[in-house]
Amino acid sequence: MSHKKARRLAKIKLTLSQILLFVLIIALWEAGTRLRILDEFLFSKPSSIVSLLWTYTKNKEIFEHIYISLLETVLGVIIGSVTGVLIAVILWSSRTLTKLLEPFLVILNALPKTALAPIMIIWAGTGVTGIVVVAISILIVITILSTYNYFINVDPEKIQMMRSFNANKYQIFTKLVFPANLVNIISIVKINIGMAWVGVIVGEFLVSRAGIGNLIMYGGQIFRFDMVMMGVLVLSIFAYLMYEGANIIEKILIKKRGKGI
Amino acid sequence: MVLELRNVSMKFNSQDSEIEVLDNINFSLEEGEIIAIVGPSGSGKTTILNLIAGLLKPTAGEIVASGEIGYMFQRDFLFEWRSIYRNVILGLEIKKRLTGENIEKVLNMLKKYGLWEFRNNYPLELSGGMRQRVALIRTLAISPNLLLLDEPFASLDYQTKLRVSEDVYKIIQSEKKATIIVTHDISEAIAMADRIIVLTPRPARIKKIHKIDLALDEERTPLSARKSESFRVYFNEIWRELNES
Repeated sequence: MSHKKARRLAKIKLTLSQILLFVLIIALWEAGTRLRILDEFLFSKPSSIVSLLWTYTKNKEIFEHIYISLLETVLGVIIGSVTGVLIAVILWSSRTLTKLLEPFLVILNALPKTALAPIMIIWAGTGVTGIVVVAISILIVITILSTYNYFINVDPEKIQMMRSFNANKYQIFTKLVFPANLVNIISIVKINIGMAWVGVIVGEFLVSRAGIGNLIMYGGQIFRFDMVMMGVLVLSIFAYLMYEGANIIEKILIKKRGKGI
Repeated sequence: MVLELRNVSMKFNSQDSEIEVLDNINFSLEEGEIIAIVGPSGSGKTTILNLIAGLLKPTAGEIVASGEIGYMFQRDFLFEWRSIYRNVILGLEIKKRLTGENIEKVLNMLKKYGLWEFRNNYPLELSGGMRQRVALIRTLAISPNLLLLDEPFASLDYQTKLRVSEDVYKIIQSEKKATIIVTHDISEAIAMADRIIVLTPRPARIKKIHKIDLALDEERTPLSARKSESFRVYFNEIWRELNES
């Protein structure tokens, strides 16, 4: 058996074991509640969660929740990441401005932004806008700081090389600093996806008429554990799909750089 | 004359002290000539190149250089996100001189120096010696009439170093470029240069300028130079100059 074949076989074995483990946990959970070892009121059971999801799918109600939350998250990630990177670019181009703003950014970064969520929703308005603002607030400061940090860590000798061709600041940025950090920016965006979901769920907990967070909150308030778990299930599926989507975009962007990376 | 340094001095100001790096440096470079600068480490060899390239301003004195300057650094600094071809045209791109004529020149150099098949590859797929050649072509692409080489072979292993310095020498000769090469390797300096400038420890002054005349029967290349009788004579002399304080 070739080495490659053996590796593939090992990978299949691992995947199978993972699936098996998942099925086992679900089966134990289901059996536990059916045998009354677990309290169904507190823990619900997989079959009721699935049947509730089926009901919500049939009357199409789930799609509205998914649509709203996805919209808020995608807007949060895109607006937050783009604005954050742009601000990092401005900071990179002006040492003075960076020195001026640095302490403020550091304090803002240390602050748990969710503490400000109630007031931000009042400022920005309830509904999608307010929740998007909460999502942005969670990810933007760390985006600015880490992107800026990547930008200033470009090898100064490479900048010298650019300057030996009389490159101006704009050229140094577009031909060196930005492309050198494209991979880093993509990984920041990937982290932002997770943070935007936190913002969206927190925002929906506070004020919302629809969304996965709203569903979870409502389920919790009426003690419907199956509804809470259905929300979490849908949430994890879409959070995962978004993350994989970002991975695909990353691969397309990096593929052009040769086998080395 | 391609370049002249007149009474050039350089001081760096650090937070609480002033470091005098260069003290009254004078020399000039003729068309097609290769000068090597050797000196103890930290003696400001690279500073001289940075001054000539205009990356630094001298504290005193004056540097007169005519035309385009090509600067090749110790490391190749190829951009791994650009193909070999796009790395080579970087300077032309920055200087907005991507004309058909210049592109053709670059393509010819890639063919001539054995990189044609790799033009669409990426730097990470190339060996150290090849990458160094790519960096040289990137430097030559802007048609400099003065070439600055800062320890260009220092990052290569000995075998590769001999081969690449042979290649680079041939390239410089065939492109007829006036060149300043900075090195701490005495034999490399003798192998490549027409004249060698020996610097003193910091603050660096010019200790001596050697005119290298190897009286070779065959065509001069770095390898044939290393075989010549007078090679060892120069070596011993420069070695002594560098080690007496």
